[in-house]
Amino acid sequence: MTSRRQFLGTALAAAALPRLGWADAGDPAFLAAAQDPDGSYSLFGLSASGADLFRVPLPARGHAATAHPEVPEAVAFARRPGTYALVLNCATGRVIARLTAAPGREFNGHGAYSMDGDTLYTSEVVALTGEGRIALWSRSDGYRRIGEVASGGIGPHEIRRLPGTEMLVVANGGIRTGPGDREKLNLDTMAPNLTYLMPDGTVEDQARLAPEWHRASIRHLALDAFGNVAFAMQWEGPVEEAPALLGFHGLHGGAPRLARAPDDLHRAMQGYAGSIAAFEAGGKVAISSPKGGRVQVFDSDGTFAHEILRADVCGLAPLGDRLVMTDGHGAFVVTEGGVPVGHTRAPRAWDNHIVAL
Amino acid sequence: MRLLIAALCLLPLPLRADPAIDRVLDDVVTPGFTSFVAATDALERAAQADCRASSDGLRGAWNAAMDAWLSVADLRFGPLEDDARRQIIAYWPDKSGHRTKALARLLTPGNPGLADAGLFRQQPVSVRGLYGIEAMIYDPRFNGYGPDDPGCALVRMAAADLDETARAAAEAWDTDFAATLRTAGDGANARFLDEIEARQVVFTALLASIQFDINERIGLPIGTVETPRPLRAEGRLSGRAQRNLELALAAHERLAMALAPDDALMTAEDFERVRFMAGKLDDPDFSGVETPTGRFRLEAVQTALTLLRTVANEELSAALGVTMGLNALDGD
Repeated sequence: MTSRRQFLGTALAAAALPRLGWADAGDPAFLAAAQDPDGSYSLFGLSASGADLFRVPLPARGHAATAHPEVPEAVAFARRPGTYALVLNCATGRVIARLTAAPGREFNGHGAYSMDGDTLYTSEVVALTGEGRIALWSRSDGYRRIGEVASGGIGPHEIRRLPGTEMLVVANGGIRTGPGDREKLNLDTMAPNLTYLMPDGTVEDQARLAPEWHRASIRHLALDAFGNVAFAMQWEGPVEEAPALLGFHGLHGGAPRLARAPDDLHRAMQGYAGSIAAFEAGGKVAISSPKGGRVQVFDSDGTFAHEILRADVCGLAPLGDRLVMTDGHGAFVVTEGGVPVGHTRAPRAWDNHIVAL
Repeated sequence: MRLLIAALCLLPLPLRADPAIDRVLDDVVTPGFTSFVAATDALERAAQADCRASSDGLRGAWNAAMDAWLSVADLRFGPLEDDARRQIIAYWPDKSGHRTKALARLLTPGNPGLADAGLFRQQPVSVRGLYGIEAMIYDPRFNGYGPDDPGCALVRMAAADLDETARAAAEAWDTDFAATLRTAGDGANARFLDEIEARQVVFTALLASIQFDINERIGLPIGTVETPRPLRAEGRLSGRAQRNLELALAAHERLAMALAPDDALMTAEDFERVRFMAGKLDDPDFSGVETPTGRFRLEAVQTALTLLRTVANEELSAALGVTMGLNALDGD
């Protein structure tokens, strides 16, 4: 039962505070986690040109973030195996709520919101078995964990919601790790998949790779406005045997379409794509390889377009027709047609992802 | 503050060469490649003069080329990374044992891969370059060839191919990449967006090269306590594992001091200590890893080098204003 004080407090707050929209947040365009020179970790809100708008200290290394669809609120996730997630007010950088992993569960670094923004979905694993879970958290109930459903595979990594629907698409990476660590335990038997499911756990579709590519861990996702999915993979087999690291799929679309650069350039990716972004209204998709020090751009039909060399590059995000990339040496670079058109630099190591708001 | 900004605006930044980059080019790149090309040139001539493995001239020239390579091997960016030149020049470690098999396949009478430079270039990188020649002149399974055998043709072909690769790398530095480094931050320079990026690429290469020694040059033969792996040592065949390590350390030191001659004092002290320790190993091919004392000594060098790397990372990144990235090490 709501107490009188709670009721009054809520009513007063609602009356006194005009609802904040994203525009009030000093227009942060991106969120990205980084390591500071003293070895500590922070999350930064960045303008479209890469200027710092706010900084939030993180208790441990961060990974990705997800933005609320309407209000300037975002959730920053710990790197897997994660124990925390922070809900931030992006206008001020203030921490609104701290999510703690449920007993026996670990955060896997990514999450997404429901259409109305009242449910947060987080990718998690059962620590002992690596089985994937999508946990549901109620925003209106103070980000209380209200349930979980099976993710449809082992080691789910990124999850996204298909635009205009409540359907989630989950990159079940297939890699089982030990509780609390990152050691890979099942490389011989791993079987990644792309799972489309409803928040009640109903699986609508599932896409898999050919058996000989079962070691290509599907980990990161980019969507266009129509819900077409592009996914980035990390190869866990011998590097010289690495297959394509980029795939395309749509709900009920059958087998995924794979895309790779010409041989020499493909080899230079070293079997590893760390991030993915769709830009030019979904007409182009970029994948990054920090190990290979390069970003490769493809047309959405899978044709290789060009590559951009940048040491330790990983984070990718769209900026209209432009592509933004961050690297471990502190650079935030805006490129257009493969050419840098602007950059900023800060004394910090940008971590794996930059998330467009 | 306002005065400072005004003062900064007056500096003609794009025209001012970066002294750290100038020193790297003048003290390391230019003399290093001059020696390397001269040495591969001499090796090619020695192979033409007498291709036999027993030839003192050939062995001497090969050793000189190996020495010279180690003085430029730390330049892990630009021309040595383009067109797979590093793999062609120095394919090591060969963890899967490709070299022996590929050499055996190639060493057949009348093999066109030994008669035509273009076809030789299509052979696996494991038979090319310095280590391909090392196997031919030091590995008893291969080094018994006479002047009319396929082995002789292979050594001549590999020496010419190595020389050509070295020249191509040197020329690319000379005509293009040195200027690309020097003009970091110019509007037209898409490779290095600012001065920091040019420093960063050298700094990263230095740390990667030190790590290569820790993990591969020393780490491979050390193996595990239960299973030392002396046969995996670089230069095992030619008995120059220790010499390679000593020359590699000297090269790292030259590069570090070119980057920050005045601001890396602890790094300089650490280099002196590690080089002293490496010089005292008295274990030319690292076969000593099978004895407790030998193993202990090499592990001590490895530990000292690991500590040096941490110190160098701190001192040089502060001096150069660069950051070591996280992404290439352990992505997710």
